[in-house]
Amino acid sequence: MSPDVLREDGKLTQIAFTRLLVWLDDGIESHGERYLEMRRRLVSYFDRRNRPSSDELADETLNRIARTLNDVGVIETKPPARYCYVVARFVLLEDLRRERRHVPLDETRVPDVPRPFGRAEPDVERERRLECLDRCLEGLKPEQRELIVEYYAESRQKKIERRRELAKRLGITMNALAIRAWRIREGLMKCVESSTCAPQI
Amino acid sequence: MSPSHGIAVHDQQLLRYLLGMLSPDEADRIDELSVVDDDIAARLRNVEDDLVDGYVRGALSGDMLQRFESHYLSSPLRRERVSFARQFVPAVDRAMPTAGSLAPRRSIRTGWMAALATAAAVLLFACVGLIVQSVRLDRGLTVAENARIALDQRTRDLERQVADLRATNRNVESELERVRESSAPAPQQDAPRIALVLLPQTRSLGPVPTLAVPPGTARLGFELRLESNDYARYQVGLRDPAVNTTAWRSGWAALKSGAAGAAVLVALPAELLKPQHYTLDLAGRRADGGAEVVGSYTFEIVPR
Repeated sequence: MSPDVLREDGKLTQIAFTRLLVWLDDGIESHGERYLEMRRRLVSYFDRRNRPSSDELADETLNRIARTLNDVGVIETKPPARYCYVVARFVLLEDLRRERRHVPLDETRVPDVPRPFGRAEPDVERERRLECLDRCLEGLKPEQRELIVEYYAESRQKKIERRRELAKRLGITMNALAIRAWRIREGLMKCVESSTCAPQI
Repeated sequence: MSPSHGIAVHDQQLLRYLLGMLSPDEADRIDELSVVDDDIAARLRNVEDDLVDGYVRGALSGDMLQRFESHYLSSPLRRERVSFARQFVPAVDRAMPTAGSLAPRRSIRTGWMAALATAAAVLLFACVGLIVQSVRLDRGLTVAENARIALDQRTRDLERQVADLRATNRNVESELERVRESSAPAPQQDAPRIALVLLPQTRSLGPVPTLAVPPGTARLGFELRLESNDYARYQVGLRDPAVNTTAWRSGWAALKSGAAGAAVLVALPAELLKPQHYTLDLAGRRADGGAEVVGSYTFEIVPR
């Protein structure tokens, strides 16, 4: 581990982080969006692989890439996302091995059974989150609110047709519309999770 | 950045991937694409959101529901997505005006908000109705006012026409009066300035009365005396003895009685007469309508 790349607390230095952002952008300035997007994908990847610490594993993946960039100076694999996936697979395998080493022999692996929703959550907390969501929705720009409602709300019209019409009206592709809607939804989710209910979009 | 890999991945495949229903090889492939391929990454997220929303709406059933609960909900992170969707889905469904089915309200606050919104909508509708009614009444009043103004104008026109007709009638009456007066016997001021009294002729020859007509004389008056009054009406005719023709004839008039006895008064246009002898033939009308000559009066116009 190079001291130039990681501080003692394990976080990237500013220079290493900037280098990582530039590499992920792959020539197209995204102002950090590409980094956030890649991190989200990695977190989801590890989560789908049932890793309990998916956030940490995603950060570990990106730290290793930053280290490589610092040590080697350049990574030839294109696109950057492919290299991210290759590193993520190693991180996953290492985590799986580590888990096996630490699980006591007499412990049976029990699947993480979901708790029933809606009943386990205290009423007070549920009410707080509902009020928070209302505030977060009110904090959206009108066009964002309209978009997310039209995109996700249930209606008599078929979902695909409705979304296609929405994309046509906005003059964007279905894919671009899906990304926009998802980002607003993610922003609302973070807004609700925050203690201040502050808009995250 | 969207490497296609030349592989078509359908949404149904992504759905099965999320539910852990793909073979390990297929799952590995989608794993890689979910990180490397922008298009797949975006579609996967949307398929996942739709899956979660469907679960919250109760749209999943059978094997899919079982897999969702046993596989998808095994992760705290994914359970958190479901938890968020439980609030998010009713919120967007409520916000959608044409939503087919609304999820049940889960919040007292949102319930009150919805009730208030409904009340506001009813009030708004009522206000709109009142405004429309008011506008209609205003229009009706305007129409009625216009009709009243038109009626007043019509009344004034008719009154003016009646006044004009009355004035016209007065003029006509005046004209008639004037015509009547002009057709009546000559008033006193038009009476002949010169009058000649003629006595009934007897068998004895006497001098013939003469009359010199002054210049400017319009009419000459004659008083024809009678010895008896046997007829109700009399008529006088001016006969020229030279040619033995009646040059003028008066209307039928009643006899005038005076201190000198009965007489018939008649006025002749002076222009008819020239210096010579003339005879005035007096005719009387009987009760049965027949007429007969009563007498003749001769006179002579002499030059001045």
